[in-house]
Amino acid sequence: MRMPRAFKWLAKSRESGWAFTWGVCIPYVLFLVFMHVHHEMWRDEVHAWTLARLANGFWDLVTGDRIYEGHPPLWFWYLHVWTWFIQAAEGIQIATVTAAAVAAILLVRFAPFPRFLKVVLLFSYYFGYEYSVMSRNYVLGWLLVCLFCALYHPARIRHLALALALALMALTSFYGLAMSVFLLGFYVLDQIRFSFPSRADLPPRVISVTISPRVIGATGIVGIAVVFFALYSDPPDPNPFAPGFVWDSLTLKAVPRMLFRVTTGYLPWSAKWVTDFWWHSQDFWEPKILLSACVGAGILVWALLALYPSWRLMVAYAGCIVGIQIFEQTRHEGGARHWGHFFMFFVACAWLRSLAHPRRSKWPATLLILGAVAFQTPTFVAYTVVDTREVFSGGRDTAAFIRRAGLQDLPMVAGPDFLAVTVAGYLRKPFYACETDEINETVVFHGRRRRFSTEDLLNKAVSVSRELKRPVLLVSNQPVPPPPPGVTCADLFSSRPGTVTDEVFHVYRLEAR
Amino acid sequence: MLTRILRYVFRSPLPLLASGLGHWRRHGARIRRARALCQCGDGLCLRRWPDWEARASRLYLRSARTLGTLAGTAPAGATAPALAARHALRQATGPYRGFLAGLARFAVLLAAALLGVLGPAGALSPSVRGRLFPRDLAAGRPWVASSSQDGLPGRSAGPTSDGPVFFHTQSSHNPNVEIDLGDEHVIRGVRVINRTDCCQERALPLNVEIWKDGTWQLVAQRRAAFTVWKYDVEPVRARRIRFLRPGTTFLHLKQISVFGQ
Repeated sequence: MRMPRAFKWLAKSRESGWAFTWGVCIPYVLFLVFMHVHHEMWRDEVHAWTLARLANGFWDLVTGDRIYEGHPPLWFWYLHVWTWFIQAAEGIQIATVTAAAVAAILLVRFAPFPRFLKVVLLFSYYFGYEYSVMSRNYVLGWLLVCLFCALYHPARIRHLALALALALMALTSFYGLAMSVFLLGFYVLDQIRFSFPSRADLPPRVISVTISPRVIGATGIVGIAVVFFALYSDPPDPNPFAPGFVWDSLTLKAVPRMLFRVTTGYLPWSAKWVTDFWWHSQDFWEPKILLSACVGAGILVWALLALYPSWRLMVAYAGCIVGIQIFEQTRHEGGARHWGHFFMFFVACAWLRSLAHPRRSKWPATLLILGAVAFQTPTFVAYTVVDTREVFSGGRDTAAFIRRAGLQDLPMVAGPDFLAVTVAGYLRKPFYACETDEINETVVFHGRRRRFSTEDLLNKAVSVSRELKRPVLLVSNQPVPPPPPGVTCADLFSSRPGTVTDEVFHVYRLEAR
Repeated sequence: MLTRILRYVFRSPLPLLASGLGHWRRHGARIRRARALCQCGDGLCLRRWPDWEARASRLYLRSARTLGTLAGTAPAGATAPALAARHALRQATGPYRGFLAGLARFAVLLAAALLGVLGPAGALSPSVRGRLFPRDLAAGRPWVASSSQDGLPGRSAGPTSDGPVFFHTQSSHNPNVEIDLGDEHVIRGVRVINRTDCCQERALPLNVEIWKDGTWQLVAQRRAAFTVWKYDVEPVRARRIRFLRPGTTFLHLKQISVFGQ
């Protein structure tokens, strides 16, 4: 039976031209632009941009305020370059769309996947929303994974280029580091040549191992990046946002939870048409812990079998999953956007496996990716539709109101500081924080911060107003208590409730005589 | 020997760059073709021509002729396309190396040209000199701390010390140290060395403020822990500069430099 021509075209798994690439990537970029226009950024996005914008050079992004972030500096360096051209907070969205577009071009042009699979991958939950509409450092991880896979070819190893891609990948996030280390392991194992003695050989029998000096050099380059990560990514102060490792939590009882994370990473399910949709991506699997553990185990076994016969890739994939799970169990559990790296790394491994064994059947990997994407589709549709219809965070609307009302020249007192960064970032305006004695456009997560209370915030606003002898703008996500005698406090604006439930801001004009 | 090295370095890099680029353009297609044939031979090719074996054979013969060898000299186990690919890649290595050497020479010449231009400009213009070699405006200038203890002076000249601190305030509200630069200067940057033996966190946050239009104006704030903090500020004219720790605590620093002109 002959396959119909259209199916044959869709199932074609090799690319020889750019027409298909542009035909897919241009609509993808238009979709991303549409989403970003309708997406109000929240604190994690605006804060990174403000840090990069205020930095006093690239080295300041290594040793300065960024050191409390818990993320390596590559994303901030990348944003810092963009701040040379654009200062507005929307610059981070341009940077994200650019990175996602390059990743898409690499995937569509060079991945040895069937054409239909490339298209559905681009419009899947992770690559169409979580890593490309949310402006986070994970988009750089995805870009560098695609770059590594596009550069890799078993018949011609580009040692330097591969090493640079891996070194940069290690500086995107912890998840980037894990993927980089295990892709390096795959690359080194791929390049080592063992020769075993035959039975006919006379003793002493020798097992010789041959490795190119270029491979050692490439390993050194990635090693430097790993050491850099270790030196400059862990915050120096212990604080609630960056707790230390809890090794006691690494027990056998944690295995179902680990498998649950794999399941949710591959199959995030939240087809809820509600405003706060973002917090529900694990609602489906969390109550069914036994089922999710069984599904997670099944996914892992299938993923490993799909990588057969490349034992190097199987080792790399299993190692990466275990490494990330240990980190998540002992340090930071994360959410769906972190667990999505299990899926991302499998896509990378399937890509490499198709390059290393082009004549082997690809259907197990194709079926797993396709099944995961199909499961993600309702989530993707719900998130994109609700994000375009509803407010994601109240920060943009609040900043717009302050500008509209001509209040942007008043001194601003805002809190809690880690939430107020959204408004301050959009306004590009420093604010007085009551948790610290700092005046900053964003927050530094050092251990000297005090607990927030609306009373402290009000007192801070009163003292600033008295000191400067002028009214101040008071911004908070909570209603402030009645002011003391001699102080007037007018409630001017409240933003609409949005997806990020704690970023609903109230604006007051406070004057102390 | 030195003359030869200098002649090699200062020879115009343009012909080398041009020839490197030319080689790259000429050999690029050949390398790609050889690589593709090599992959076909190894069963790895993604794109296969119907006549790939004949093409491989032709390429192999051409390579063998260029090398002056015959097919019999191929190493055992090597297929014809693999040998052809290896030969094509080897041919390409030389021009690439030349291209890199050309680039290095270009960088050296550029650096020499920059030195040639900026050197005399710096010698002639104080403004350029100030940007190239910023002067420490605080060196030897009088400073005064908001309070003092531990037998250390509360005021002196030259904000630096061989010991761990050059001043040490009492625990007080908004402790600070103020430096008089003697005259109005354009301030371009500051460098602060924190106390080295202990208690570095006491200096955080640290405000850098200048006296302008009758008030102290904040120009920079350090919030992250530091031993040495170097910061380039927006150029601003001022005579008095102070380093203030907001809140109630001690303040002690080892050295302060203020750069500008």
